[in-house]
Amino acid sequence: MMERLRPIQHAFEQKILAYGQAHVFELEIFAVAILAVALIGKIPYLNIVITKQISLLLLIVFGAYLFQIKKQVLLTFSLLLFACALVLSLAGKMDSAESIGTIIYALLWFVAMLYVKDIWRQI
Amino acid sequence: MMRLQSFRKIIFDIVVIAFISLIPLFWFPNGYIVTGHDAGYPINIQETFRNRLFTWNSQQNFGIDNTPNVGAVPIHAIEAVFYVMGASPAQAQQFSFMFWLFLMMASMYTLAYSFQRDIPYRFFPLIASVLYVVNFFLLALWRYGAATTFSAYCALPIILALVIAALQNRIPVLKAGIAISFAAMVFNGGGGLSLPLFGALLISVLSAIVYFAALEGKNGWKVIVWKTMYLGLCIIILSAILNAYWLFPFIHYATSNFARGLEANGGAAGVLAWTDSVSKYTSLINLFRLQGIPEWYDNAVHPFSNAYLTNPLLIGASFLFAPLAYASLLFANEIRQKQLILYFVLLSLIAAFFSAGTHAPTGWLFAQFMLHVPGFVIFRSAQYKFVPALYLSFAILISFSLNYLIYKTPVWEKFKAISPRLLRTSAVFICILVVLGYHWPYFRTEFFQYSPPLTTLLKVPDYVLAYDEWIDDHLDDDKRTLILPLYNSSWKAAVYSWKYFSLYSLFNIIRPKPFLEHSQMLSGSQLALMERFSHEILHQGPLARQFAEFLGVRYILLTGDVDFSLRGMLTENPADYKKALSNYPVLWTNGPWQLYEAPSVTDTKPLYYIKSLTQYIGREPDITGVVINGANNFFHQYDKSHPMAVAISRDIPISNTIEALLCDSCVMETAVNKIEVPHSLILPGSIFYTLKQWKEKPLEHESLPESQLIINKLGLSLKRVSDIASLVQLNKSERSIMVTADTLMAYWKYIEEKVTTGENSEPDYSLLHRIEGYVLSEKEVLLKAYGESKSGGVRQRLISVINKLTQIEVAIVGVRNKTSILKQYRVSQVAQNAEFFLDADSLSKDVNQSYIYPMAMEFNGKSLGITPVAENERVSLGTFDLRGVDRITLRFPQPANVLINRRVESVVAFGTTNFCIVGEAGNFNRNKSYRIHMPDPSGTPEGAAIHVVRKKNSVTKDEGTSINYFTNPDVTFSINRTATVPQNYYFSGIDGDIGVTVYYCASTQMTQAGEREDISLEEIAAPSLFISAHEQYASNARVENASYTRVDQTKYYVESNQEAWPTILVFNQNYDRKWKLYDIQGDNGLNSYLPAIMETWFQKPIVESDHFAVNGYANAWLLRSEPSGRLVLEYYPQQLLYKGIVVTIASFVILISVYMTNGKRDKRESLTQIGAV
Repeated sequence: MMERLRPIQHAFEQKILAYGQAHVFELEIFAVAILAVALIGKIPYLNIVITKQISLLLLIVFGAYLFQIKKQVLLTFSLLLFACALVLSLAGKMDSAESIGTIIYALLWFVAMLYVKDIWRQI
Repeated sequence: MMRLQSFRKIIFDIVVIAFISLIPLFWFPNGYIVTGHDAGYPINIQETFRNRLFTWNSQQNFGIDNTPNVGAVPIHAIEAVFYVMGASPAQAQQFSFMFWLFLMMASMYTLAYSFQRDIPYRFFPLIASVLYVVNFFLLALWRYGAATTFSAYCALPIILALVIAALQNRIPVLKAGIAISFAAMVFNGGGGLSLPLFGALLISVLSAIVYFAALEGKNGWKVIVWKTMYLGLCIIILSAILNAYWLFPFIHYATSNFARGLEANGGAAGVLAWTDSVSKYTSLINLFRLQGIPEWYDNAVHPFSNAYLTNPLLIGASFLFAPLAYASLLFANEIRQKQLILYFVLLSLIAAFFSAGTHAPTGWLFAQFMLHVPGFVIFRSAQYKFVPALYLSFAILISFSLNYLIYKTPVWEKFKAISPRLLRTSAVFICILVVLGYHWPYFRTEFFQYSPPLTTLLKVPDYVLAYDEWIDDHLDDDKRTLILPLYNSSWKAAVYSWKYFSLYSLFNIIRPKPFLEHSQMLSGSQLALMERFSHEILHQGPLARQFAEFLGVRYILLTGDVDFSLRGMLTENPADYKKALSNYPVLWTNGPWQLYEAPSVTDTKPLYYIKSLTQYIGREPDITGVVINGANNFFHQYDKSHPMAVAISRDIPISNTIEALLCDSCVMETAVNKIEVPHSLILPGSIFYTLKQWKEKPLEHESLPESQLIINKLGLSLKRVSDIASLVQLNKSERSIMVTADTLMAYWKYIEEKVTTGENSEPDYSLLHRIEGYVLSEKEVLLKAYGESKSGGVRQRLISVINKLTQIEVAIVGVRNKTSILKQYRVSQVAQNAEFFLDADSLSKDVNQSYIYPMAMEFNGKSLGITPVAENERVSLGTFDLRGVDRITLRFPQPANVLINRRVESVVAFGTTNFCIVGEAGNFNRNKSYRIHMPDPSGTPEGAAIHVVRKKNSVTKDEGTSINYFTNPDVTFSINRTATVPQNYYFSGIDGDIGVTVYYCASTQMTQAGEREDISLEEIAAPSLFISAHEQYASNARVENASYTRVDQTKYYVESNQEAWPTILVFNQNYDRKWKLYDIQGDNGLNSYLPAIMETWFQKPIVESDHFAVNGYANAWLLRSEPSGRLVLEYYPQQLLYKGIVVTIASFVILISVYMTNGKRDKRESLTQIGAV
C-alpha cells in the first residue's frame, strides 16, 4: 500500500517544492504572520486563540522534521519534559505543568507514529 | 526438564501473588464489614443472596425491577459460598476481597506471561501483575468492595491476551472465541447496566485489531479483517448464549428503559455536565502520573490525598511512572518485541484520551463522541470506565523497562562473588516493595472514610442484628413496615449514628421484609402519600389510619439512631416521633429501635378485588386529597408523557371523580428568579453584528401563541441590555447605544402592551412572574450603565427605558398584592353538582394556630358567599353547579402578621452599633413558605437589611448571644431604597428548622423605622382545592380480599372468588407493565405436561389495555368476565430469566464438549506432525 502511495507522495512533494520556489516571498510573509500570531497568542478579529503549547509544539515538530532529528532523541526529549513538568508542579505552577503534559502527549503520538513507520519499513 | 522448570517458576510467582493478595487482612478490625455508600454488602448474606435471584425486589418500598442486577448473581455468589462454608459475614467478605485481588493479579499475570516468547524476562509477568492491581484507582474501589468493577478488571487482561494470541496466530480463532466467551461469562462485570465497565476492554481490543491489522501490511490486513470478523462473530454469538440467563431479561429491560434513562440524567446536556465533573482533574499530566480522581481534590478532608498533592517526595515519585513506561520504546530491541511494546504505548495514549473525558485539550472531541456516537453516552463517567486500559498498558510498559534495567545492566556482573542472579531477584523484589510502599494507604484503613466521619468500614450494632433475626418469624412477607423519621429532603437517605449512609437502604441488606422509607426511589405521588402519612403520625392527625390502609403499612419502625444533626444532612428528630408514637402498641424494642403496630381500619391483603374506583385528575403532589376525601382506591388520569400513562380502557367503572384544581396565581407568591445578563462579545458596529442578529431569529409570526412571542422578546431584551452595558463600558459611540436603547424600548413596549391589554381577562401569572425576573435584572444593569455613561443623550434614553421597566414592575406588583388574598384556579371538569373542599393542611394559620379559611368564592367573576365546614382535615365549601365555569377565585382575608415578640435591639458588631427590629415567627412550620412584606422601602435608612436566622432542632450556633445571629445570618435581603413599590422577600423552611428570627437592621435611625412598624411576616398559603363529583358506580366501592398463594415475589396464584363481573383486581406492588396476569386452564392441553415454572411460557396474558395503575403506585386489572381457569400473576422478566438459564446451561455443555474435542484434535495433529518429523 505504501509502495502505491509513494509516487503520489513524491508528486505532491514536487508540487509543494515548485510552489515554494515560485512564491518564496508570499511564503515568507505567511511564515512571519504565523510567527506573529504565535507571539501575540491570537488571530485578531476572528478571536482564535493560539496557546503557547501549540506554538511550542509546532516549533518542536517542525524543528524535528527540518533537522531530521532521530525518534530516539525526540523520545528522550519528551521524557526529559516530564522533569520539567515535575519542577513546575513542585513550584505550584500546575497550569504550566498541564501545558507541558499536553506537549508531551502530542510528542508521544508523533514519536509513536515514527516508530510505527519504522516497524512498517522492517516487516 | 524445561517445562518443569518453567512450571516451578509459575508456582513461585503464584505464591508471591497469593501472598500479596493477603493485603485485605490489614483492613478488617474484628467484626467490622465494608458496607454502606455504594458498597451494598449484605448483613444477612444468605437471605439477601436468595432475594437477588429474582427479577422483582418486592420489599423495597412498593417493589422495584431487579432485572439489571440479575447478572451480578455469580459475583455475589462468591461471598455466599464462603458464608455457606461456615465463615461469618465479616470473614466471608474478607475472603472474597482476597479472592478478587488474587484473580485480578492472576489475570494480568496470564496476559504478561502470554508474551513470554517475545519478552522473556523472568519477572516481567510478576511485576506487571503487581503494578496492575496496586494503584489508587482500585484503592478508591476497594472502599466500596466494587466487585462488579473487579470482575471487569479481571476480564480485561485475559480477554486481551486471547485476542492478541488469535491475531498473532498463536491459537485458533474458534478456540479463542470460545475461551473469550467463557471469560466473558465468568467475569461479566455484573452484566446489564455494568456494560460501561467494559469501556477499557473495548478500546483495548479495537486498538489491538487495528494495530495488528496495520502491521500485516500489503495483503495481510485482509486476513486480519476476516479473522477479526470471524472472531467477533464467535464472541458475540457464544457470549450471548452463555450469558443468556441475564441477557434475555436485560434486553427486554433495556429496550423499554434506555430513552427514559437518558432523560432521567438530564438529556445530553445533563450527561455532559456529569462528564465535566468527573473529568475536572483528568489533565494529561495527572493521567501520566496515574492520578486525577476528583475526590482527591474536591474533598478537603480526604484521608490521604493531601500527602500526594503536597509532599515533594511523593510528587517526584508520581512523575516516574510515565518516563519509565515510555522509555520501554528505547529498550525494545527485537522487531516482535518492538511491535508489542509499541502497541501498549499506543494503547496508553488512546486510553489517556478516553480517560481524560471532557477535560482540555482533547475534551471537545470526547464531547462530540458523547453527542453523536449512538450509545456512547453510557461512558459518561469517562475516567472510571477507560482508565483500566491506561493502568494495563503502564503495567506492561513499566514492568518491561524495570526488567530491562535489572537484566541488561552490566552493573551486576561486578558482584560475581555474591551471585548476580540473587542480586537481580532482590532488585525485582525491591521494586515490588517500592511500588507497595508508594501506595502506603493500602496498608491502613483510613481510605474507607469517604467523608469523615462517614466511612464504609462499619461495625453493625447488635440491635440491627437482633432485628434481622426477630423479623424472620414475626413479620409478614406482604405487609409493609414504615421506617421513621423522614430523612433529609435533598438526600432522602439516612445517616445512622454508627456511620452507615447509603442511597441503597439498610433494609435491603438485612433479611428481606417489605419496608417503606423516605427514598429517592419513590415517585411524586408515593412521596406525597408517604410524607403526609408521616406528618399525620407526627402531629397525631386524624388520617393516619387511612394512610396506613392505603399504603399497605402494618408496622412502624422508629430508628432512633438516625444522626439528625449531621451538617448537610439535617433531618427530623426521632425523639419527636417517639412522643407521637407513645400511644401505639410496641411489638419489639432493642436499643434505639422500636417497632410499633400501625393503626389500621381493615386488614387489606396485597391482592384484592374492587368493583369501582375513584378517578383522580390533578398533579401528583396533590394526590393526598383523595385520601382526605375518604376514597379507598383511585385511578389517576396521568398525562400522556407520564411513565405510568397507558392506553386505558374506557370501561373502568368509576364511582366518583376528584379533581385537584391548579392554583394559577400561587406562583406570584414565590421568590422572583433574577436572570443573569450575559456578556456581549460582538457589539453593534461590528461587521459580525448582522450575523449575530440573524442568529437571534426573532419570532414575528402572528400565529404563534402570545406567550411564546413575549418570551422571545424577553430573551432579545436581555441581549440588548447586555449590548448596552458593554457599549457604555467600552465608551463606544453614542449613536450605537441610543439605537440599541430604542430597540430595547420597542421590545418592552410590545411586552407591556400584550401584558396590560387583557385587564378584564385573567393574567398569565407564570408569565408575569417570569417577566418580573427580567425587569429586575435588566433594570439593575441599566441603572449601572446610566451611572457610568457621560453622554446626556444616552442617559436620557436609558432613563426612559428604566422608567418603562418601573411602570411594568409596578403593574406586576399590583397583581401580586392581589394574589395574597385572591387565589385563582383553573377548572377542566364540567359537573352539575360538584362539592368543593380544601385540604386544611395547605391553609395558613394565624398566631393563635387557627386556620385562615376563605371568605367567598367567585365563579367567572361572580361572588358567592361560603361557609367552610371542617371535618378532620377536609374543609368543605359546599356544592355548586360548575357548568360554564372555567375559573374559580377564592377570596381570603388579609394575611395575618405572624411576627411575634417584636422588639427593638441594638447590636454591636464589627465595632458598629446596629439598630434592629427583631421578632420571631409564631407557630413556625418548616413545610411552609413565608413572606416579609415591606410596604414602603423608600423610607428605610441607608444600608438597611433584613436578616433571617434559622433555629435548628440541633444547636448549630451559639444561641446565647444575638451578636452571633446578626453576624452570621442564614438569609439576608438587602433593601432597595429606590423602589417605589411595596417589596416582598420570600424564604421557606428547610430541613432541621424549628423556628426563625427576623432582624430588620440598619446602622442608624432604626428607632424611627421601628416606630413605623415597617415590616410584617406572613405565612404563605397555597390552598389545595379539590372538587368531587359522583358518577354512576357511587355505591359500590367495597374492597374484598382475594385468596391467593404466593409462590415467590414474582409469582402468585389468585382465586377468582367473585360473584359479579366485571371486577377489578388490585395488586399492591409498584405498577409495572411487565407484571402479567394469565388465565390458565391447568387440566387441559400442553400445560398438564409442563412443570409449574413453564406453565405461562406458551400462554397469552390478559389484554394490556386492561392493566393500569391505581392508588398512585399499584397494579390493577379489569376482569371483564369470570376467568375460565386459574389466575396466575407473574413478573415477565422472571420467565425470561428461566428461559435464559436453560439456554446458558445447554450452550455451556455444548461448548465445553467442542472445546475439549478441539483440544484433543490439536494435540493429535501436533503429535502426528512430530511423528512425521
